[in-house]
Amino acid sequence: MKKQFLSFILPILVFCIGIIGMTSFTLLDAFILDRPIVDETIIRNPTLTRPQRGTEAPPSADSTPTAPVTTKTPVTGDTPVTGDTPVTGDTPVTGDDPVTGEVPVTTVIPETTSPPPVIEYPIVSDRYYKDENIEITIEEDVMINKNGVATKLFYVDLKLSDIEYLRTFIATDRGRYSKDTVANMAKENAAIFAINGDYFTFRERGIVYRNYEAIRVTSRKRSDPFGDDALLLMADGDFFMIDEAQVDGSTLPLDTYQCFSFGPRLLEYGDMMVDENDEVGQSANSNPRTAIGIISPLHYKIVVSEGRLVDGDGLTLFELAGVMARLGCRDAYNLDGGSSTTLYFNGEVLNELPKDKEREVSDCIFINGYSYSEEVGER
Amino acid sequence: MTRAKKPLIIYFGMTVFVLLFGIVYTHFGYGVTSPYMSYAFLPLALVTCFHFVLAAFPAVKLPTRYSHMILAFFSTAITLYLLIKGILEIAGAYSRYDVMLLYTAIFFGCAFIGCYVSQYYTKKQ
Repeated sequence: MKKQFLSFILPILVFCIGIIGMTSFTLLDAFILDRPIVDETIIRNPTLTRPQRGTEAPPSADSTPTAPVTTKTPVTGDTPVTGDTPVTGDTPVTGDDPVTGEVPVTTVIPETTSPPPVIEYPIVSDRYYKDENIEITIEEDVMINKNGVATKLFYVDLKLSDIEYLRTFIATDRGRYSKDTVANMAKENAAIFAINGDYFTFRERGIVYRNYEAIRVTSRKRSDPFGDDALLLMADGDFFMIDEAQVDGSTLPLDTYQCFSFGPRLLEYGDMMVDENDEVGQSANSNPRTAIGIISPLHYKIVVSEGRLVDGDGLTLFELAGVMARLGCRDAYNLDGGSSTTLYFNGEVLNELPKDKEREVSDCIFINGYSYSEEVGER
Repeated sequence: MTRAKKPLIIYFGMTVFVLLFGIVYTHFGYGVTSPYMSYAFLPLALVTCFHFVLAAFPAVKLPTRYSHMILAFFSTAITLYLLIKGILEIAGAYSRYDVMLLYTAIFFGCAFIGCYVSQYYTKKQ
């Protein structure tokens, strides 16, 4: 009996205990135990230079961003007309005086007009926001995807006067499981508008910069399930995208305002960068998506598609890239999607969520509204 | 039921269970799939085939009485590794400790091969 115990039962017991221990520890480590997912000490060595763009105009270059609107100097018809009024080429000349040779000048007195209305900012509606520095327009659309299913899309047109109005927020203490919903993060930051970011704590690698701060400089590899495309948002409001595998994260330029680590890149200088077979990891083809594109510096397009719903399964990356191209984006980049996809505006989540529940994510991209600024301090 | 058929039926049952587990788990994964989960049944299927050969050809025997146990340890460890890896991949989670199961499987796989090799040398002597 003792021999049988030693030769059979004991090894089986030891094996079972060992295998249960290893399995439990792996699952604990993956789902429950927390650990920092950012680099503790980062020494920046900003040697990377921006890639040179071609000289030709981007596919649908837009005008410069909206300049601040001056509303306190209304033009009135009370301007006194004096004899000092200079003669300009626009001044109608009525005819020469043959005697004196003087040219009588008829000054056109501007018609008395009522002053233009003084615009009081912010202007806020269900799908629109505008103040002196920010303009957000949200439109809805329905698109039939490749499966013949109608999918609801939200197009966000974003114009800023300064890139620092587009901010990001990381939930709580930056641990792997420090998460919150986009709506909560938006409310915490008194945001008028917010979308999900790249959920970078989901992965152990990936270059991440937030609001000029280097959070993580460990590059992804090309073989990573999510690829290695990173999006850099620069201080002048321009975009450019890099292959993380070829870049040391600490060498990003000093004017790197944000660096998102998800991908893939959808458009680059108007060219489609994905094909019909491209997908994020092992995901299904059609999914809820969030993508950001640039028309020109400080003018962006954000597309959010619903999906995983009874009446809509989402878009493929190829379809999403097509949408971004149709909107006239020069460059476009895919952010985290699936259940993470969230579009928050003026106190409510606009897109219908899978399972009707908002997923908690590590970070969000947001814009503080004018009327909310008192809550977070004057900008 | 003969001695050779009993493990064959057990392994076959386990293969079907793991196959069904993978299908059901993937079904509720919002279309997110993992090759680890999809093919987790394969090692058990191979071991089932091996036991089928043992049952069909009585001349073929396992080298030692511990071989059954070592083979069971190997198939358990490798299947668990694939299932755990599949679960993590579908959830998008990550753990650096899942390889412990893989190393365990490799260890018992090598031990099983070692049993055959040692048997060959024992007979030669």
